[in-house]
Amino acid sequence: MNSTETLNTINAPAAESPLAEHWHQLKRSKTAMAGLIIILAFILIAVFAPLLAPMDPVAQNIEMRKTAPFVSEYILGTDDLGRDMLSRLIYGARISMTIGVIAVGIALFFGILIGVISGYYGGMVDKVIQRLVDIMLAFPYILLTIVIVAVLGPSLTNAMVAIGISQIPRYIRIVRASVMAEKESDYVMAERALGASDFELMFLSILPNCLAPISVQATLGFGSAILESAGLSFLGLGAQPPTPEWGLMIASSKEFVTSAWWIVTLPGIATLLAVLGFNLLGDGLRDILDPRLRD
Amino acid sequence: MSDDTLLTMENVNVHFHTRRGVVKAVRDLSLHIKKGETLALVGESGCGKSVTAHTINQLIPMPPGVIESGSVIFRDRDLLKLPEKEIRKLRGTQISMIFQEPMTSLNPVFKIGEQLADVFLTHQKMTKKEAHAKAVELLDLVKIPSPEKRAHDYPHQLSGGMRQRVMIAMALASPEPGLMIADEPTTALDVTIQAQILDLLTDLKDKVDMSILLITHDMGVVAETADRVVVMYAGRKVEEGTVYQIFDNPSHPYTLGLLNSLPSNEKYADHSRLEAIPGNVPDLLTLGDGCPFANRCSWADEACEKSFPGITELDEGHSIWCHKSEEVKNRSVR
Amino acid sequence: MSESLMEVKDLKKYYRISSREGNAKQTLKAVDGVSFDIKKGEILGIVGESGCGKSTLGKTVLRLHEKTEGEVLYGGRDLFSLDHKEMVDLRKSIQMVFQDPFSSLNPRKKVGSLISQPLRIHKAGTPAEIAEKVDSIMEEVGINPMYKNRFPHQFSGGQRQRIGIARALTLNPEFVVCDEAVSALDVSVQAQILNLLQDLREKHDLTYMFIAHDLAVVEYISTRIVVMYLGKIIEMADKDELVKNHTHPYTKALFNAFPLTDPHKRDQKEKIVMGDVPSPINPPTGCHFHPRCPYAKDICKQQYPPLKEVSPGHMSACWLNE
Repeated sequence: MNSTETLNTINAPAAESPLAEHWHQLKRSKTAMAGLIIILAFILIAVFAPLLAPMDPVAQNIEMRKTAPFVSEYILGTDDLGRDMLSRLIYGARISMTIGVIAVGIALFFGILIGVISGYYGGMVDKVIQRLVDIMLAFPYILLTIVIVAVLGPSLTNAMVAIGISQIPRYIRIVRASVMAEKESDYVMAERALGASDFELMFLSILPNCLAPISVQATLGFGSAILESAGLSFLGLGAQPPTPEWGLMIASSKEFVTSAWWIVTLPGIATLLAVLGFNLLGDGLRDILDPRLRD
Repeated sequence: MSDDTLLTMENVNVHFHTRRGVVKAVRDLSLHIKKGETLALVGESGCGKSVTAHTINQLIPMPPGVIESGSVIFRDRDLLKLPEKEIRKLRGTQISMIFQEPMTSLNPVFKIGEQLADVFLTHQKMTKKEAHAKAVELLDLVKIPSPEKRAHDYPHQLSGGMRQRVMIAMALASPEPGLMIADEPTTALDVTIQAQILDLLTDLKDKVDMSILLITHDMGVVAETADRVVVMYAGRKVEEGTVYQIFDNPSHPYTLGLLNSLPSNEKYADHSRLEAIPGNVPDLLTLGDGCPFANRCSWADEACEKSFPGITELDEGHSIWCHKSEEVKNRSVR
Repeated sequence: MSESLMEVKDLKKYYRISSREGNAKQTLKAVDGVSFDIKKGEILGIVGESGCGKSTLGKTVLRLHEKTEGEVLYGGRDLFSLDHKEMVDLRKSIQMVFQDPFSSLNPRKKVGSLISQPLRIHKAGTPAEIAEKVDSIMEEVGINPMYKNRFPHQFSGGQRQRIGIARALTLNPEFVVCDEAVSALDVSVQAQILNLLQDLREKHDLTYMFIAHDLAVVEYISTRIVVMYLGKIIEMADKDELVKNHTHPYTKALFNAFPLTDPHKRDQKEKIVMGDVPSPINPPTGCHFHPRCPYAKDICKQQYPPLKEVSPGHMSACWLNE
């Protein structure tokens, strides 16, 4: 035998990439798939809202006020100002998805950045960051959001920012914990031995291995962002009339709960479905990606 | 088969149904264990040695595992046909098992003396005090220093070697120990501790009249403790014989290759290159019906790719399963 | 003998750990005053059981851990006195192959990217040159370059270790620490990797520090062997000298305990060593080995024996040598 004995004689077994593996597991979870379908439906509705909506969501038809569902061309009825419920709900999906993307985007960006730094460096940096996180977490969550909106002024954009900011601490905690676990791995030590810089280790080596818990949290966070924005709009701190935002729709029609139930109920159901979709998918992802997180 | 046989496995096939396909983990395996002997099941990762052990005490996770066919006769009963309740009764009494990592098999919240005494209390009628005394006696038997004191320790307070001794004591706590399955019992231990545990196992086997099924990848451990050896490769038995037959006259190309690739082999005293077996263990998913070693074997030809060979008896009790036994024999003078 | 490549002088690496009882911090002396040198071209084997500090030693001499005390001179310069930039520069010449090919390769990176990483870090060439280098090094370690877009988990243990070795060699280092580089592998694959390491050493003029708990492997590959016990060197000599004339009772015990692959010799072995390896947190007083040593004298319980030359190039730390 000579030095080339093994050259080219070994074959890498044909196995799947980690992503494909996860997709197969996800497909087997009925609840997660249900969640995914709901979410996809809402995303499609949001993207194609102008094509799908039969009418202008803010156009009023005073004559047709409080028309019940399934009795006229207004399939899901009209609200107290005679606006088409279906169109308003469809445009509401667009707003809710935007809220989710922006709020979660803000929370993810800062949460990951601060969490990685806190977990990777440890020591004093970590201690200071964690005490700040403690302080933020000590406020009741919704109160924190309200305070931020109150400072920034009530508007839909500010509500998104406020929700994003108040979600940051959760991501810091999750990212920090997984970074701390990952940074002890041999592969980090190995890459350090090659001369890799701290930046490279933090964001190119460690972070990709922490994506599992982050994506679970982001999915769940999406749902709660939609819920919170509905809450803020309900309180008058988020979207302003006549925006077809679900929370605002509920708030402005709460007095008709007995007389025209659909005006209050339909946006409520839409909110519930969207949040449910994200929670189902989030729980499914958690089971697959990070069984330790199950509680 | 004579009367001194404790366990006989006949034509056992174990499959695992995974999403990517069927893994034939153990194929057409037959073996027997005599009373009082140590049978070593040796092979590299994926050869099916642990699956074989788990077939005996019915610890194969089902699904995805399926025991497709075969029988495992232990003391005149076919273990594969026994109801779960009967098997559970056998496990821990007549068939015991020690693992590579003893910490995982001991309950961390109970003192080791209590855990040992529990074994007595479940299977025998005696008072708590008697059971405790018995437990201490056993700890002494497995040569744990100051057993009376140690009985009050929790598992985490013991070293790895001590925990393995406790596991062995647990196996001995049964009234009629028959077979101890030792699955890589010393792999996690330091070499000086390993030597002590192997000595202990050999001593005890004679004292309490039990058989040991030793599962290991380490040819050194085999040479030190086994009476007979079964060499497995990719789910198949490829060679079987007494420990002397296997080490003095290894006859299957795989066994030869395995012994030749050991750096401790005397022939490398001059620091020459090791005679490694080229290539890798085949993927069990795609393995055909031929000899699994064919793709790494320098003697292999088309016949080897096509069918698994029948038995070639070389000597009393020494057999190989190889199409090329004649060629191998003529070239492999050690 | 040729010149020294690395000189380790009285190196200490202590860890402060909190004890189970109370808040008092205890000191774990993982490496406790170790001195040796590594000559150019040799394979220095470091052997010992768990807790002897061999792995910590391997990582500290590469400054993957900071030292507690002592010096590691490489080319005459103390590694620990270098600034960040100098250290990154030096990493080109000193490399490491890790024990576990499953955990030492980033699971989210493709093989090609893993192997090219050191080249990219040190900006060693244009993308085309780097790609070419990756192909040639993959070929050299016996992995077909067509697999560079696969992930580490798609390879077997032996193949992964080849990838780990390829990564360590892309920058043409002169000194490589192999930390249990073959212990996680099956015997038949282990032999392939040992051969590969030897071939590469000849071809690239490498010097190895080869850390392992497996005496047979260390004995086979090393030119000189260091035996460690609880953070200290207890014996050190050229391979043949150590194998034939070891004087320390622990070295004897190690050789004795190692299972031979000859069943005829199983009853001829002396059984000398007893008991467990003590914890490195509270090592025994005097000679750390005395509680397990059948020859222990009174002085062994009180004073740690000095590491003394018993014959040219053969050092041993035992009061019996006096």
